[in-house]
Amino acid sequence: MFLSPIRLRAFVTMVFAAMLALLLANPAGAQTMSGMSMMHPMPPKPCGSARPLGCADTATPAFAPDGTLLLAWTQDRNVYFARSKDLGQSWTLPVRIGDAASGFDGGADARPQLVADAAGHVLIAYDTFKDAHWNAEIWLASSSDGGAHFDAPRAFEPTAVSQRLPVLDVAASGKILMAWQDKRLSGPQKLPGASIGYAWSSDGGRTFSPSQLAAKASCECCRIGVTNTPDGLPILAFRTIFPGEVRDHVILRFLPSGAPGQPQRVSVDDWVTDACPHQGPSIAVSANGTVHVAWYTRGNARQGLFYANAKSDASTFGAPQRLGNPDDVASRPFVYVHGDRVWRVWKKFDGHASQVLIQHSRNDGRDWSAPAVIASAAGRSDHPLLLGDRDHVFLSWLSGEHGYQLIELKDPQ
Amino acid sequence: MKRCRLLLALICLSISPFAGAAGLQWYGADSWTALRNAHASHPWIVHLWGMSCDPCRQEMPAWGRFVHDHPGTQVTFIEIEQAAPPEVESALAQAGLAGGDQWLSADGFDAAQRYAIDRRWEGEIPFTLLISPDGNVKTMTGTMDFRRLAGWVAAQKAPSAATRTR
Repeated sequence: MFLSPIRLRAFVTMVFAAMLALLLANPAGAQTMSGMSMMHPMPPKPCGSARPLGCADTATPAFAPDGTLLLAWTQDRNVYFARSKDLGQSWTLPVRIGDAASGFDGGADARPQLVADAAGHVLIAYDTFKDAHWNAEIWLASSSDGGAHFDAPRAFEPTAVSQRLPVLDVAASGKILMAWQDKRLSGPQKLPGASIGYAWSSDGGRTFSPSQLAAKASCECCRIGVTNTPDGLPILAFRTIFPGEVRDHVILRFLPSGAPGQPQRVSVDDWVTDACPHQGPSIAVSANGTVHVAWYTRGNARQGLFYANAKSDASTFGAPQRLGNPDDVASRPFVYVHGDRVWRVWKKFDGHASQVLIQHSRNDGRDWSAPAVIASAAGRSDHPLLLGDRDHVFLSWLSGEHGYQLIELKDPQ
Repeated sequence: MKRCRLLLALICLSISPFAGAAGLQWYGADSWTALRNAHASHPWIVHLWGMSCDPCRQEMPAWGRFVHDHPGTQVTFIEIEQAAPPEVESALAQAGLAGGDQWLSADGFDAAQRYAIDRRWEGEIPFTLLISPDGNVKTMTGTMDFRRLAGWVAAQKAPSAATRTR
């Protein structure tokens, strides 16, 4: 019902296909690790996928203001980038942005991030671990010609204690916000979790303001959700740590001054844990200001995937709605808005294959269509992500079976 | 003498290659089935952890003490984040766990691997399974209460162990 697939079968066109065949269907790199003292090297094991990007780990898309589709991905502990002018029918040659082999972040929420601004800047951010204490540092690679060329990646703040899981957002002002998991408080003081760090760039990511903290407590292993409010200011969603080691979610708005506001709780799940969930929330904001959040919890109040929204003038969120069925093995919820239409997707695993389920609301999250399977794949797969250009909304999904897919979502009639 | 050697060889052969395996080994798609078979009919503790997980690393010395204090208890450690083998070995050794039954994910824990271990486990760590000889499984998310763990081990040795857990 939702399907109008613009599948990336046409990666095989152009020289890119040949490059991908050599580069991306490479079998063994990630399987053989160096420096093993007691272990026998694992024998080379083909990743098993001949599909474009089928051997990649994660892939993150973004649209440039001119509609160019940008893609950053990791494979064999390297970060790559390519562009497409035709929604993935054909691609530029992949560019290796950086080598993340030393200190590769294999966390389930780790993935390269990228944004493009109206001035033609493209910024890619990713992290690696930098020392024996598993402190991380953020690497930035920037382009001033729409992604045709990138500077060599540079460490964001090399002397910082630990900065991990960066996310990027272009505000309406054109400034780029970067936020991340920061351990300037928790590291030295041995406190649980991390803090939310942030910095602004006014030149497309070439330089940033000195980093500051937006919130003192956050769950250190979970990705931050970020989007813009209708007035073009960033808003975050993240798993924080309330007193008693309760790891529930909050949103946090940035003010016109660029400073962060106060966190607002999304729900009381009461997940008391000191574990690393490795599964952060997703946030989207409608044109009328309604805030939509989707998340994962195993709290005392509820367990599974949930969604809730808050009207722009509301001080609290509505009752959480479960995504899927209680018995489902479900993960990685993602929410996206286009005007007052809202989409939410998540991944379900049945023991053999993963399915991406989708629901659509035409009235700002009040009513939802029945869940429908929009994609499925056997074997390993990435998180399902949603993105849009001026007129369309797409599911972006990477799997070993199908490689990279960009699937247009149609408004069900 | 020959009979003794033959008997010894048979005893050795009767022990699965996984039971009591020493040192870090690669964990792959088929490892869980092999491990379960190897540890069948014994109380078995499986601890899943990751090098980037602060609470995981911080409690490793306590795991080392627990293993030291409970000789004969089968405890398997599985690192799920594809960390570099020397670093994993070093962390385990510093915790007093050198040479134990230790595994390292070869290609990351995908949904199928998590599902095989526990269908409800979404990858949060530390995560521990307490598996009784009758196959009953108790799972624990977060750092361990080692007094409770010692109690579980003691209960497994009691005559009524087969009726417990869940």
